[in-house]
Amino acid sequence: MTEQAVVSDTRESETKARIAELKYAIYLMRQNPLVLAGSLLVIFFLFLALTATLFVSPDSAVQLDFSRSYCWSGSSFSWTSLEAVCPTGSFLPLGTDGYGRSVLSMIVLAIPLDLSIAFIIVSIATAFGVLVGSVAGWVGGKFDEAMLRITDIFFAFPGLVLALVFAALFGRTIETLTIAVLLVWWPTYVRLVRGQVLVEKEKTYVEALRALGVHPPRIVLFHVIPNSIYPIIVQMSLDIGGVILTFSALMFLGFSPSPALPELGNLASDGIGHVFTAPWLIVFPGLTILVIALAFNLVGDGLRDILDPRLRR
Amino acid sequence: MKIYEYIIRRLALMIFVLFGVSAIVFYLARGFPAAFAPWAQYITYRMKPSQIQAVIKAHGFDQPLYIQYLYWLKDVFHGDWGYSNWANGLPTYEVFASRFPFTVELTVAATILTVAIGVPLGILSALKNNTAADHASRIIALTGYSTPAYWFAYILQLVFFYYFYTWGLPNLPSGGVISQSLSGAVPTVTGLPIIDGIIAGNLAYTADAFAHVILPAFNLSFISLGYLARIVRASMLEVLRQDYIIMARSKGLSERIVIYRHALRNALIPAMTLTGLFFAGLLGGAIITETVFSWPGVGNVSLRAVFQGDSNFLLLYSLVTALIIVASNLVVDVMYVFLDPRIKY
Repeated sequence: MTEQAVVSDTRESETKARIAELKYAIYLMRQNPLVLAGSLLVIFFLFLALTATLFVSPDSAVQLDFSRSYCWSGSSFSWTSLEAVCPTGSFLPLGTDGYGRSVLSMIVLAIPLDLSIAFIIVSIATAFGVLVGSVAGWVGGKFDEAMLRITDIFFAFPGLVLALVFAALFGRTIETLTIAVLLVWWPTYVRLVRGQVLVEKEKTYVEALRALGVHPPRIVLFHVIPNSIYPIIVQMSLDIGGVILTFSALMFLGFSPSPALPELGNLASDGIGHVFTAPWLIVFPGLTILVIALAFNLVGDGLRDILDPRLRR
Repeated sequence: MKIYEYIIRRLALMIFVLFGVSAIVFYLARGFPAAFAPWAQYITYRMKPSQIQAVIKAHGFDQPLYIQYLYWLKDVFHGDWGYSNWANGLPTYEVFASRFPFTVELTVAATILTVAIGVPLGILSALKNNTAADHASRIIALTGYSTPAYWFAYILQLVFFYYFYTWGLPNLPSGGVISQSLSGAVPTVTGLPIIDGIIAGNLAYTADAFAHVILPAFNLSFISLGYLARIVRASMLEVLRQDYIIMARSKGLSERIVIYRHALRNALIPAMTLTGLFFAGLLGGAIITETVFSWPGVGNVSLRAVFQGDSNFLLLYSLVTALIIVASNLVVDVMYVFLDPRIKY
């Protein structure tokens, strides 16, 4: 057999094994009601994120009507004795914000923004982690030592402070906030991938590939990384929730580019001064963040149990 | 490698990390044009232009940034952390020292709550593995770390301050460390209101301070108690499968003794270290919780420092926090050696 044939044969059997593993994992997932519930919620939110503009026109974010700001509609339930009542005939199931916009519509509009930012941040952090972490783990030596020390420095920071200082410096734009959150999140992935590569590097299949003369970048990219993909996926799904929390917290603390931007933390931020007169403005956007984060955490937590054979019982 | 060699190596790395943190914060806080010049913190409106020039020269503000950093290091080694403008030009160190006890009080309260709820929850879900109780504890855990801290803080205020009041129930205060009427009623000894009240023998003061700490402490612990519970669960499950547990059972020991005397002790080692790290992380100030509950700790002040461009406070604050985090990591790693004789360095 030629080298090429051996390698492609190995890869084929690796792929087959992986598919079998995946099928088993999906089977186990279906056995676990919590993971199933989390997955359904994730699918629901992804669907909502893709179709949000079909339900709510993006223009409704800029249609301000101050005659009905901070009002609650419906007489069946009352939050406080101090709340304003919306004019009759308007459909405002979750009340309005300070600009007189429907809170429900704003939440629907905010979900695509929050989710896409979370995906962007987690993907960039992962890509960076795979690149730097695998080189550090594979090459070792001085580069590895330097990367370890740099991540040490970032781990020593109280996360939010670094993001706050960065955001305060470079202005209140979504791009700045994205980079600010990324700054907090990247070291985790570098460490994770590095650890994985260190473990895989010592295994016999890597030795075999090396003996066949396969280029190290190929080994890392096509064999080592795919074999350590599960912990990375688990970390990603657990971090989506965390990233949304951090990002919306920055918005909430006052780093929003515009107070009218439909973003979940920003919507809640509008309610700060009105907690006891218009509580719905904090309650519902915050609850949405909680449910989104919970959905991804349920999936990630379940996946970790399922994909880690030691915990499979 | 001997344990002391390991500690020395770690201490050397710690110094490196602290330099790294200070350099990054220095670069971010001083290296970019800000609303105020960095030397603005060091001058007062009474100074003559010649005096201002002297201040600029003394702290190296006319030099390139990396030289400024060396000047700053020199100042710090002389114990001069500069001044904080917004705090009426008080020395930054004093601002920090006066606020830190509040953060300590909140941190201790939150840690006690976390352990008191998290550990039993973890044990319960390990013993009832894969039952409804386990699922419930998993949901509590995951809900905890999916909860936006700022949101939960306002929900707590809304329910326990506002709704309890409207329902005629005894309500908890919505913020601050002590009621206005009692403020200043006892002399500041430790800076921790609860302890100061006890020292002064003023129990009403202590009770009031205690009422104030409940909601922020619960807000902080709710986020991490679930995580602690998961760790306790995982290590408990791991321990329960060990041979010595089977041995203990086959000796005919009661399940109570097996679990509490034999299993729990070993299972709590990871929980202890996690609690240590949680405590250290909170000592750095819970920015969001302190801000929403108007708790005057260092986290609250650091947010103000960010908004007001107080680079002196940010440098001191981030260095102290980094020191706490790195030192507690070291303590935890060294403690492992004593708790678990199998671990060697």
